[in-house]
Amino acid sequence: MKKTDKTREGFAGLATVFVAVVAALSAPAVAQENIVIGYGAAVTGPLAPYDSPDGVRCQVERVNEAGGILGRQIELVIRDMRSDSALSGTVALELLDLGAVALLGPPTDDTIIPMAMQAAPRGVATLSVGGTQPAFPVAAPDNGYLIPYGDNASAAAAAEFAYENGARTAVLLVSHDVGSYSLMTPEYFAQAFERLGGEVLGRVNYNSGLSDYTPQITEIRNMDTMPDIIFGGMIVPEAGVFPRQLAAAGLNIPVYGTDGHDDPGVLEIAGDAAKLVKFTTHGFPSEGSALAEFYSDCEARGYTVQNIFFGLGGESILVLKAAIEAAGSTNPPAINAALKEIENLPGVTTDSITYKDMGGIPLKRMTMIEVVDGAFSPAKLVLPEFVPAP
Amino acid sequence: MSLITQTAARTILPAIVLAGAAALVMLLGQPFHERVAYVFFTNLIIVLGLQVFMGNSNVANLGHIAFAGIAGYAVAILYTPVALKAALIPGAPFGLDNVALGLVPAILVALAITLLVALLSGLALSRLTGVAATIGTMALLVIVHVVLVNWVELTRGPRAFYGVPVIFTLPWAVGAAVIAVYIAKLFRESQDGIQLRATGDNLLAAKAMGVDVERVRLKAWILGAFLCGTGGILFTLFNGTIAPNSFYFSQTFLTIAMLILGGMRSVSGAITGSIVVAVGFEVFRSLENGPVILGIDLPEAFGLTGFFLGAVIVLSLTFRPMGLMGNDEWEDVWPALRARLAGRREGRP
Repeated sequence: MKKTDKTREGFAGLATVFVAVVAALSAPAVAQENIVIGYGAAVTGPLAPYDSPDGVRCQVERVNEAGGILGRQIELVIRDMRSDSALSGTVALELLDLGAVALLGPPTDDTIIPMAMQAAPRGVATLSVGGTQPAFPVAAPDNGYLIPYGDNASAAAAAEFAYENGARTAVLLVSHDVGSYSLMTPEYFAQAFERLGGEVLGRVNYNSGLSDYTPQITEIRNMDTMPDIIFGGMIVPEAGVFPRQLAAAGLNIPVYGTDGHDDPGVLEIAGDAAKLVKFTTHGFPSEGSALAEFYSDCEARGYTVQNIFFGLGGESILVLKAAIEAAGSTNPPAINAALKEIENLPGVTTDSITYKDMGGIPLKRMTMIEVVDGAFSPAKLVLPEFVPAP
Repeated sequence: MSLITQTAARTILPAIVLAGAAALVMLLGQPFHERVAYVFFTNLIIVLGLQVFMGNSNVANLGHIAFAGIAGYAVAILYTPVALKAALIPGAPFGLDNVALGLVPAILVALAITLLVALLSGLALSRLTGVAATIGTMALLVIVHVVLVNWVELTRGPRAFYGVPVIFTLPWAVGAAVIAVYIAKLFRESQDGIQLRATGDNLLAAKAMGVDVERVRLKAWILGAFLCGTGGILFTLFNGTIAPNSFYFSQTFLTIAMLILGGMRSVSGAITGSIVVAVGFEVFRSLENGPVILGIDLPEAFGLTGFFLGAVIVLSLTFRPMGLMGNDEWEDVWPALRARLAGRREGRP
């Protein structure tokens, strides 16, 4: 008898929760006067390290404290899209129904294109917080934007920097393993490097995540002429393993890359050989920079800064703020149109962001990093003169 | 009553449940709920495809998503308009960038390619048993993935293939799912299905009784591939954007979890597991966003859905190792329960 009662109680409780959930789903969650910004974020899943809900949250907090946008507060609504392509489109629709005037989204093209597809009929701008793949704005030319630079621009910046430092020949490391990053970035580099007058001696295939790159190093060693530099779209661990083994083989050839190298793991893994590494990244928290100020302010607010995507998250809100203020309204198509006109906007990771005539891939001043005394150190700020077509 | 009409009668209950659920979502839900429901139905079809082979043969299969991938990519490449393909895959092999088929031919060709791959792989895999078979199926998944990632000229490699026309809506998915349920039930109760289940229960005994193990396994493998391919096509022509990662481990494990939770021995198990996981995901997804329930403002707790999936699998494996439905179909539950109660009344254990 007692058991039955308990079961019944259990069922009643379950039913209450269910009704409440349904009620919560249908309740209007948003006050009228706030500006709603939706963020379909990769909070969980394999893309989580490349997305930054906390960076976005922190900047929203800061902007709201400073009076918001057009005198209205920002209301950030985050939904976890679990790094899943189909769920990504679903949460986009959900966020749009909650009144989002602009969408922020995950870093890969297959996860953010479905978001932009849902947003397009309503003219809502969709911005990838951490994505550097130019393919996304190309696929969504009306309302798709990157917050970071495109891989085409960062590779071009690396090419300019290498050429300035006397490099005339290069070998490309190419891999299919890390999406278009490891596949296309070297090709963008080649275009920019050859345009400057450099020569690509060859392309060497590799796999990401290995602990032994002897075959690749041997292939380079057996070339008729040694290249001045090596370029690859590498990530940790090979971003550290490869230079270490290269140096151990007696080949002290500088290894160039882009933000995949921007990880303290490179220094630990490569050891002394880290001095061979030079790369383009979004920004560097030098003392007195906007990025350093943003990091320290957010840390004081209790956030943990994980990586550069935190800064890019902060930047995304500044871009939207500029667009909404330029539009003078929260009408989504007006915001989308204003975004396309942004020029030389000071951001968090950089002092200059331009969307005008860039087809959704912003031109930003980038930071070239080299390793000095076992630590990353900014070498130069570069705004490339030539950017290869995406 | 012949098997065909008998199975049709046994499909009525799941058809009512599935169509009713879809109708409720369309009437009461918000637009995004329809997307959730659609994805549920594509997953259900894939889980049914998995059940046909894995559930009946008792050979763990980690390769079924490969067929969804092959069919999905095939239909994307064949059906995307030529103008867009000129930008996506210029100079594609076999002149495919200059050809676009109609919807029905594209789907039929995609399924034909899937079935061909299923036949070739099945010839090898149907000879394997136990761990070797499972590793073999996983190898198939990895091979297909590697081809999708590396055949850049045809598939765009790791970059997303986008711009596939969005054709299907929820009613299509419901129709396809009901047909898939019918097919899976028909196979389970057919002579081949019964023989295959016998090989799953006791391989040697089944062989000794004269069951042609390889032949029935091959049939189930191909039929399962057909259903998984259908699921892949429905997904592709709904999402409009696919990438090799859409058809890889995360999808594999999600669908296997659904099947194991529901009980892989029965078709109803596949349906039950899919429903429980999908509904649970959506309930937990709304909870993790920190809604206000009964005046209590819950905190945001992202990751709850992942926790839910893990918990549900651990609990079901602990308390119901055969899955929620065990050996039963829905229509068997009531008679079985009544028989058990009657047995208890008569003092039998």
